[in-house]
Amino acid sequence: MTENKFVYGEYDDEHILLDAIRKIRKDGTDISEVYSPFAVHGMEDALGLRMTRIPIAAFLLGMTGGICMFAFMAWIFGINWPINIGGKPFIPLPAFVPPLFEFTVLTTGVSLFVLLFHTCKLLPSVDVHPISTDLTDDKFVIEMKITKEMTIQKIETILKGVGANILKTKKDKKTKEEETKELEA
Amino acid sequence: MEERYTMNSGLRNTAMGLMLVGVVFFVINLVTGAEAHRIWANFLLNNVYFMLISLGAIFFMASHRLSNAGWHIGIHRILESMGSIIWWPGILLIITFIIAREDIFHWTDQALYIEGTEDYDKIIAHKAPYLNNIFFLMRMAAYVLVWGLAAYMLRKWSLRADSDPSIKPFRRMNTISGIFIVFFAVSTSTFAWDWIMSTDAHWFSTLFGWYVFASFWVTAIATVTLILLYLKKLGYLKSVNINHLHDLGKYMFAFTIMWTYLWFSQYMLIWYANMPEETYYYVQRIEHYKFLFFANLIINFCIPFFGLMSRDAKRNPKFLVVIALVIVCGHWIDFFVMIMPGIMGSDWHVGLLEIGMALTFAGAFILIVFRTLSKAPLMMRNHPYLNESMTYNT
Repeated sequence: MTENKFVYGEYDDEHILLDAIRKIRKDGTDISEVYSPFAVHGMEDALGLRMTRIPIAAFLLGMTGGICMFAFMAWIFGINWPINIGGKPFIPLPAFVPPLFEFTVLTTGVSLFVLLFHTCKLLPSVDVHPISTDLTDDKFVIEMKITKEMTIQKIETILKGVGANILKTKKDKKTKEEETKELEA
Repeated sequence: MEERYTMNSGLRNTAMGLMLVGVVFFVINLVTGAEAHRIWANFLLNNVYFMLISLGAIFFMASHRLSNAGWHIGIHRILESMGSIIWWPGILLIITFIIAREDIFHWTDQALYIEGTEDYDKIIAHKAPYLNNIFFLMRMAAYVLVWGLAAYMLRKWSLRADSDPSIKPFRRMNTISGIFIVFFAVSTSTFAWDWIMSTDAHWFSTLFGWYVFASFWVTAIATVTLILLYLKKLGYLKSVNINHLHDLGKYMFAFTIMWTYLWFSQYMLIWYANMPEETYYYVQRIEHYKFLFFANLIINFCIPFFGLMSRDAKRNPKFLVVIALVIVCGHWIDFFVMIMPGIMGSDWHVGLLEIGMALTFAGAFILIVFRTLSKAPLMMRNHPYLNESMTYNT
């Protein structure tokens, strides 16, 4: 982290943020990411986000769980230890539906949870460098990438033009760290 | 600002036409000689079906008010109009019971209760403290009164709010909704036992009330969607946008699953326990109603479930119309399969009489609901959640 790759513009209010995003995107400028402490309604339209692949992942994970569970139950009740329960067939399909349903939901839920943590690099032991700790509280941040055409000065003028407060990440982090150190001391 | 709906002659003529066709079909059947119990069974089926749709609309308003929901304010007037018809089928059902109870309900036959005779039925006689004419009528009167009053009061205070900007109408609607919901929680089950389950007085299922609730609730949501889309097509309710439709789509999807869940719960428990007094309900349906029984499951589960799965489907008004129509027709079949076997046994028909009666009721439903709708502005005013509804975004 010797060089800043991004410029961050900070906001206090989500409505102003949404307007700013629309204005920036109207000029054809790319926004690489927006951070917010909660889900902001209308954000996906303002950012022009496409549909995520979560539904496909969920479907595949759920199917995997369902098929595994079915195979497991069929093996137990049909092959390994067949028991005659009230004269029902050894593989009674209607009776399999509740565990199948539950297990499919469980696999989907838990594995999506793990997947989300992996994608967002939130797994334990991963070293996280927060842009600003206020992001989990009441601040919103627009992140824009620095390239050859988009110099720092250019981005800063754009962000200032839409009313953002430019975040000096490194400095901020230092002061935060110092603050905590002071508090600890 | 004030947006009012005026019923166009096209809709009125269509509704009148539906009723006329229905009456003609009915007369044809009378001339060719339909049995009395078949006519009354259909009358019961359609009254119960439309009464429960209307009840679903009242429940929609009450539950959303109590959960502090704001998005539905734009369609509140449609719900009020649907709720306010509940008197009609209620009174018609009471009249049906008084005139034709012996054609419909086997348990009203007094000979079943005399001990020692050949007709004596121990199981039904055991149920006499609950299933007797007087208590039955008292219960029905209570349902119609409380449900009808709730619908009337909710509409009254909603209209009052148009001219009264204070918080008072809102508070009153809160109180009414609270009282209604408590009564509703018990009365949907007992209504389902009284009018649907008791056509087959020997059989019982504890979750039957819930099953009926899931069925009429999803139907009511589909009906609201249809009315809303019709109004939007005519250019009304511009502020109710795709986000609200998306929510109605989600509801249809979710409660389709809930309906299937309850259908399956009832089926699986009876199938697994395999007790003769319970299984004959399904034996009868699978033997004599095979097509409708399985069609019911496919129409009401597979089509809405796979159809409404994606986000784009829920945000496509044309697609929603199709699915909502499928749900409305499908759940009519659901009620048909619930009610008919108990009354008609294996000798059932879907003929001119059945279709005609349903068309007459649908026509009357459209006529009354849209006439009520035209009596008040289409959008509530001064409601605390009005702004939330207008700026709503999913």
